[in-house]
Amino acid sequence: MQFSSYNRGALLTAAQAFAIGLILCMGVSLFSVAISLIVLAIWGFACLWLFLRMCCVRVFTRHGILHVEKGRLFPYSIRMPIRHITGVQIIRTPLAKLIGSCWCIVHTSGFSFILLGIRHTDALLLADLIIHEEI
Amino acid sequence: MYQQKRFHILQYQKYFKYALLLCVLPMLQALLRFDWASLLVALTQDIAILAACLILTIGLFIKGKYDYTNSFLNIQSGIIFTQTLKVPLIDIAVVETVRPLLFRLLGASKITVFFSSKSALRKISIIIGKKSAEEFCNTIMPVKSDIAVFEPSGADRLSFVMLSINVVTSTLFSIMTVQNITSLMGKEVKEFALDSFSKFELAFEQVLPAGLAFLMAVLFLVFAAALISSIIRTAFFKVCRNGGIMITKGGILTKFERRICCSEIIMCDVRITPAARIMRRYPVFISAGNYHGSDTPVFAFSKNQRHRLQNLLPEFEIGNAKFSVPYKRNVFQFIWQQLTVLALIALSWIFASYYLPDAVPVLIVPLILTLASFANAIDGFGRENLYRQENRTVFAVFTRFLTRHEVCIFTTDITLRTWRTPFYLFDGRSDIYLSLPYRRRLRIRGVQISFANNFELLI
Repeated sequence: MQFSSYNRGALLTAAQAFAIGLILCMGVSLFSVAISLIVLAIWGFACLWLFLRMCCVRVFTRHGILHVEKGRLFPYSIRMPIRHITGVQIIRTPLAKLIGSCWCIVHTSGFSFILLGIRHTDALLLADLIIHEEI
Repeated sequence: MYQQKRFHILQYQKYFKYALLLCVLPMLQALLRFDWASLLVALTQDIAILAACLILTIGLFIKGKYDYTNSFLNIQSGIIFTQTLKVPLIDIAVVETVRPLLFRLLGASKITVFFSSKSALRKISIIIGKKSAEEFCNTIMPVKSDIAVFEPSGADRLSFVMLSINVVTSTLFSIMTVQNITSLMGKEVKEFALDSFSKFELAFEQVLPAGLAFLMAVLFLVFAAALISSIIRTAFFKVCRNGGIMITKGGILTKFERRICCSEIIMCDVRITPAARIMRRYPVFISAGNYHGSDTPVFAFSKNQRHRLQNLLPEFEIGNAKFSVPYKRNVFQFIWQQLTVLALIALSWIFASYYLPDAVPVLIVPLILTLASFANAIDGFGRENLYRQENRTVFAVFTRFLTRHEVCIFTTDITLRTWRTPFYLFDGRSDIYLSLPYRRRLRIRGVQISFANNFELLI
C-alpha cells in the first residue's frame, strides 16, 4: 500500500515559519533595516530548505518494512521494521484541517520522524496498518 | 507470598542534604557577624527544619516499600500522594549495584535497574541494605558461578587503566571542583591551590615558553586526575559470563557490579583511540537496553586475542576494516572541518606572530590535536563502511574526532536513513544514519546509493 502527501502541507509549514521570521524581522527593522533584511533573507533560505526537505512525501510498506521517501533536491529516505514501531501520533492543526491534511509522527525506540501534509484518512489508515502489522 | 521490604534510610538522604544547606547558611552569616542573638534564632530555626525533615523522612521510610515476585517488581513511595510502580521483570536489561564508601560504612547498596529498549521506563534507582541487594540481584539475574573471562593484571592492567581514561569527564569534574572549591573549603584552600599551581607552572616554564607552560600544566593536571580516577575505578576489575548473564565488577573506594542480560545487548563498540593505537590494545564498550555503558570498557584485546572476546560474546564478530577507498568517495567530505580549523589556526598564527609573539607557542596544542583529527579523518575516508555479516549482525566502521569506532550491532531494531545533497546525487553517493534504541546514532559517510538502497533490514 502506498500513500503520498500534499505538497501544500510542507508549503504551509514553511510559510508559517517564514511568517514568524517576518514578524520578528519587522521588530528588528526599527533599529536597522539592512540587518533585518539580511536576517530575513537567511531565514527565507532556511524556510525554503525546510520546504524542499519536507515536500513530495511517499510512504509505503513492503515485506514488513516501512519505507518513507521525501524531499526534493535534498532527498531523504527512511526505512524501519514495522515490528519495532512503538507509536503513531496524528496531529490536526486548524490550518491543516482547512486543507484536509494533518501531521503524522511515527516513533520507534530510538528515532521519530514527522510527515507533513499527509491526508487525514491516509494517516489513520497508516496508523491502523502499523498497529495491526497488516503488511 | 512475597514479603514487602523497606528501603535503606539513605534513600532519603537528599532531603537531609537540602535541610543541612538551609541550616548552615543562616548560621554562617550570624557567625561571621559575631551576632550571638541571631545565631540563637538561627539555631532554633535549624532545630525546627531538622525536626520537620526527620518527620518527613520517617514518614517516607514507613510508607516506602518494595517487593518482587517471579514476574513483577513493585515499588511504593510517597506519604500523601502515593505512587506505585509495577514493572515486569522481563523488561530488565541491566542491574547495577554501586557501593560508595559512605554506603559501605552504613551497610547500604544503590541499585539501578536499566530497562530494555522496548520499555517506556528508562531506569529506576533504589537504595537498600547490602543483603537485600544481593538477594534482589540473585533473584532477578541469578548467577551460579563467577569464573573470570577477563581479569587484567600486570601489563594488561596498566593498558586497561590507560584505555579507561575518560578525559572529558575528568575535565568537567575538575572544572566543577575548581568552581566550588571556595564554597566547599573556604578562600584559604583556594589560595593555597592557586599558589601550588603557580609553582607547578614555574617548573614547566623552565623548559617551555610562558603561555605553553600554563597550558601544559593544566593538561598535565587533568590527565593526572583522569589517570587516578581510572586506577580507582578499574581496580580489581573482572568480567564473567554465566548462562545468559554477563557480570562486570570492580572498584576500590566505590565498588560496583553490573549484571547485563546478554539477549538485551544492542551493540559492541571497539574504540580505536590514540591511546589504543599506541598500545595496540582495543577497548570494547557494550550497550544494553537503556544502559549506555560508555564509562568503562568491559574488555581490552590485542589483535591476536579476538577469540577471547568471543568467549564472552559468542555472537561478536568483527569484520574487515581494511583501508580501501570506495569508488567516487570525496575526501573533502571527511576533512572539511579539520581544514577549516587548520585555516583558522594558520590565520591566528600569522596574526599572533605580528601582534602577540608570546602567544604563538600556545597554538601548538590545538595544532597537534587538529592534525591528529585530520589523520583520523583520512583513516575514516578509507575505512568507513557498513555491511551485514555472515552471522546476521551488522558491522559498521566510522570515525569521530580522534577515535575510530568499529561497531558490531546485534539488535534488529534499526532505523536506516539516507540523506543526499545535490553534490552527492551527482557522484551517486549518500550518507547513511543508523538509529538504534535509546537515541544512539551512527553515521557512515560517502556510501554508494545503490548499496544504501539495497541494504537489508531484518524483520
